[in-house]
Amino acid sequence: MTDITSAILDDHDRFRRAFAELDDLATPDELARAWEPLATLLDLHAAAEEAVFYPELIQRGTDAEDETLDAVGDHNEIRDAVAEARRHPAGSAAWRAAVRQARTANSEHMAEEEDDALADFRRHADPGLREELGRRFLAFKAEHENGEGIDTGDVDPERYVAEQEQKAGNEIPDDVSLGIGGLKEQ
Amino acid sequence: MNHLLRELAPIPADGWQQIDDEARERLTTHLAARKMIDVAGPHGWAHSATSLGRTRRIDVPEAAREREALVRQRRVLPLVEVCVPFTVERAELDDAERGADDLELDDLDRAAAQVGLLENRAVFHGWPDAGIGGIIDASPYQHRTLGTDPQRYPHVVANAVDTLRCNGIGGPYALAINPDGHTAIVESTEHGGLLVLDHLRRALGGGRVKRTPGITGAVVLSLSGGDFTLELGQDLAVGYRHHDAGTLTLYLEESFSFRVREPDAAIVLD
Repeated sequence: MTDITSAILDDHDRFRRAFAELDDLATPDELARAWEPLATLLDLHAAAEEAVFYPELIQRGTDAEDETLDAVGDHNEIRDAVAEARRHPAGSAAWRAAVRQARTANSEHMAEEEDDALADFRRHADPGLREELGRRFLAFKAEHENGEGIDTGDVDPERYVAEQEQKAGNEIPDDVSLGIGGLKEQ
Repeated sequence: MNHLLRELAPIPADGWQQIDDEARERLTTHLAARKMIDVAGPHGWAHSATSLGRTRRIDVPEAAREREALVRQRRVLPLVEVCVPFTVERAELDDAERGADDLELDDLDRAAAQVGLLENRAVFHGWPDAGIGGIIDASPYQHRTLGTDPQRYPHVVANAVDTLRCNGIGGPYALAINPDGHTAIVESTEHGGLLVLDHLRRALGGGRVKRTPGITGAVVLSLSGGDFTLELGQDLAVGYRHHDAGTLTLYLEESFSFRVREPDAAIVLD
């Protein structure tokens, strides 16, 4: 049983610990060995969220459009920083600057996502859907283990949102309701 | 234009705003069940049924039995459409145009109460004609006696919570109780001056006591999620029916189904 919001939080926890572990390492070899799996997971996590989570959030969340625009923009910053770090030897000043940039962008992204997008989704998606998406999220990551087949290029946030809304529009009509929905949080 | 036909109503934008705001405020108060169960959707007016993920065997037509075939039909729970009309005086809406922000919308308030009653009752007592089974009928436990003395309620509720915990049902928990019972709770203190309401909240593991119009007696249920699901086609909306020189007839409308996914997650208190 894996709720997608829990699966995403699990990855966030791994990120926090993996970045913290870098603080204790000094030699280039140690840094390279610790950084490479973290870099791969950062790219894979972003791709998995864009493939599985955000297309569903757009159909259900209260502020889904803004949350998705923010998230994809953050993913681009993280992807850029990861790509920049890969251009430099581990432990070099340029590498450290790029890793720092990735860490800062990722920390901001996780905080926003946990407080906004994930909370929004929990309020508007039923448990069955969350479980189903959790399975798809983990399957996506397993299918692209070690980052194989992942496009790490930037994604245009506006275009991504427009495409997802267009797809959703085929299935979900405009909400003409009073927007009361679930009241469990009250 | 959609089926609510709002564009055909002689109602200025400010008037619609006040009607919608009033409806939302009143409904949020009356829809007590939604504060204790999961809500899925809305999936839109065109959404007609909830998939149950189950099938039933049906026979192959006699004329097509040359080779063996296994035939199943998907089982679904059709959504119920609820529509409760109400009236608004056109003079009130004219005043909205003049800037009045205190419109008389008493009939809307009564309609909102009726919608809340219907939805709460479907959730807790079921709706056989609609194929909806309620939480109370589904509960497998022997009913407990709540009685009429609010000072005894914390003991009865703590006992029910203990039973749920022993059966692996996590908290926090809620006490859904009829309006009279709720009034008795908020007016009562125990020896030493402790509010019965505060004692109950603690007994519920930090949960809540909910005044629930439409319920007979009371129910202790888990708030942990995944146990009870109200699926919305169209969430509550205000639509237009017709008007004459003095009065507008509008309506509150929604479509929904309800499923108990974990019957063990609630205990009935009579």
